[in-house]
Amino acid sequence: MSPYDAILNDLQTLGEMPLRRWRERFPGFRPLGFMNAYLPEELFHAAGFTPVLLLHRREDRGQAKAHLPGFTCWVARSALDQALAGELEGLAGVAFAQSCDAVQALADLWPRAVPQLPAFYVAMPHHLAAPAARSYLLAELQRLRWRLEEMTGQAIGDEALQASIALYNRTRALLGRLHELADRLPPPALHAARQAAFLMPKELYYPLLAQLLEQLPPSGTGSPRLVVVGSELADPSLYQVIAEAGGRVVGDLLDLGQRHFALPVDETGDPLQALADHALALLPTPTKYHPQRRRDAHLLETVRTRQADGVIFARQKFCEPHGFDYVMLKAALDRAGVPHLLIELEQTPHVGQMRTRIEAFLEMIGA
Amino acid sequence: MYYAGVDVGAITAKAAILDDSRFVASAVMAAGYNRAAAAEQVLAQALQQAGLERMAVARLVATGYGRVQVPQADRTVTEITCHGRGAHWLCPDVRTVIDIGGQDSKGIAVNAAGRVVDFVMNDKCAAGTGRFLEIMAHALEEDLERFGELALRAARRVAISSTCTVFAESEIVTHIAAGVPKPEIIAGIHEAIAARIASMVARLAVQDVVMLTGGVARNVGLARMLEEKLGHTIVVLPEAQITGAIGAALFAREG
Repeated sequence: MSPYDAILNDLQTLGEMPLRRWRERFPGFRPLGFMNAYLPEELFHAAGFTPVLLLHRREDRGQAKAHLPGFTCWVARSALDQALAGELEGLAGVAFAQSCDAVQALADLWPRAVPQLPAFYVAMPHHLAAPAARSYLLAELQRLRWRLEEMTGQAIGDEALQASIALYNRTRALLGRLHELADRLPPPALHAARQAAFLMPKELYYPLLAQLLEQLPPSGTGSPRLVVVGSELADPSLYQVIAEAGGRVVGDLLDLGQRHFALPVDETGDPLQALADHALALLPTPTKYHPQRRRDAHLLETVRTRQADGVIFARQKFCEPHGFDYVMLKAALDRAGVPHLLIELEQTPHVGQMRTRIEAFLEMIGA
Repeated sequence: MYYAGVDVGAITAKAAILDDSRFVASAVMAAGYNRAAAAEQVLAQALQQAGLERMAVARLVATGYGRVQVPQADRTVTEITCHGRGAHWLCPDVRTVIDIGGQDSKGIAVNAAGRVVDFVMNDKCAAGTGRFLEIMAHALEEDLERFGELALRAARRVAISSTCTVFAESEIVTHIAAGVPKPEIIAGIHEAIAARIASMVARLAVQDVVMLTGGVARNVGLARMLEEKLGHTIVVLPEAQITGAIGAALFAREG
């Protein structure tokens, strides 16, 4: 097995790794679960934790349905289901940044449903360019810093926070490079490589990613060239099906994809303010608004620069923000004559039906 | 030279054979559990009808849900692309194809060259598919073959509000208990399916000629009610059920 394959195989195992195994694999790290794109991971890191994205599991024991209505997106529901089943024991806590109603509801009910796992919450402004957004978010991060300091009994110094920011920036730069070279990786490998960024300690991840980038195949295979749009990184089966159908993922507009790593956090000024400014400066996710940073324009630009042939919307069933966003993005793509396909993802993916749609779409836009 | 297309669907397997210019033969049978065996058998039947040996087939293309299970297929093409292609070959003016199969229904927009330009697909539930009709025909103890005709005989149609097959069935039981004449219930069932499919297909820009394909196209009642809901005349050809297999055979002929 080549070192390239060995690294990929290793990264691929992380997606399904139970927490118990994670702790054996990464001794000395204190995992803290989190959901969604706006969490200031660096602050938790500087407090001595390793933020780990709570991925959905395909199996669901149905326990969360006692707390959340049936039309709640299953990414949120699965996190609660795992917690109620005791699978998250060993996490130092769970952190939410305000994004959508489902995460908001989850954050609200968590202290009652899962009191043994401390919940952290960051209220993220919706209007990113509003006059108060900057000071509001800074105050919110300061509140979080105090709460973490209280919990650990340790002050989070500016130097520690700066060191965490520097570590995360190094990873961002490498992930930026990975996204530039996305078309050189088979879609499942691309997915595994960047999902791992959220699943393992950054200290260990970035050297692996650096090694992987040095060993990328000179050119990828597969066409048409696709851009994937969605909230989390989507189920791995999507990438597998795209690969099997002969397609290639060359770009994305995923909440946790390219946009998430597009900018570094400023390392010169006050670190907390830098974190706040960074969150406000990124391309907004569908629940946020910025008058100048339009998602439709950004998507068209991605399609153009990545020379994509089509766009696949990978939308979790019941994800409302991305449902509303779809209307705007679809209109922009229609106007520009860019073909697109909407795939509604279930917690347990219907791979056969997904395959028919994706193959038919590739047949439609190829040749 | 001969070219074969095999369409292994959720409920039936279909085969079509073409030569360099014409349609030669076809066969339809139940797909059953063993899709690979069904594909072999349906192809053998079509070959037998044409008086050909398996060797005579230069290329075989498989389509339908079971396409990957067809042994000896030279390649696979989705049923969406095949129905579009087959429909266009049968009727070059076709621009919208509605394929209602055993387990799903699809709307397909094709251009003047027979290429798919857009499609919509229902697959999360059985309402709006052949399976729904089967279940309802069974509940009403009627032959599926004449179910559609019965629907057209009704003076009135009961409203079936449930969009779920299971709940619709219990709703129908209520109508039976209330003494509603059977044709009115059957008409209501057809109307409910037609409404469901029409609303899905409306997501495409429906353009004439509209063609109905798939096994359910044999149901005259549904075709009529779909015309009503869509406001377009619908063409149903005798080859409706084998349109996908014909499309696959056309791809086989292209190489």
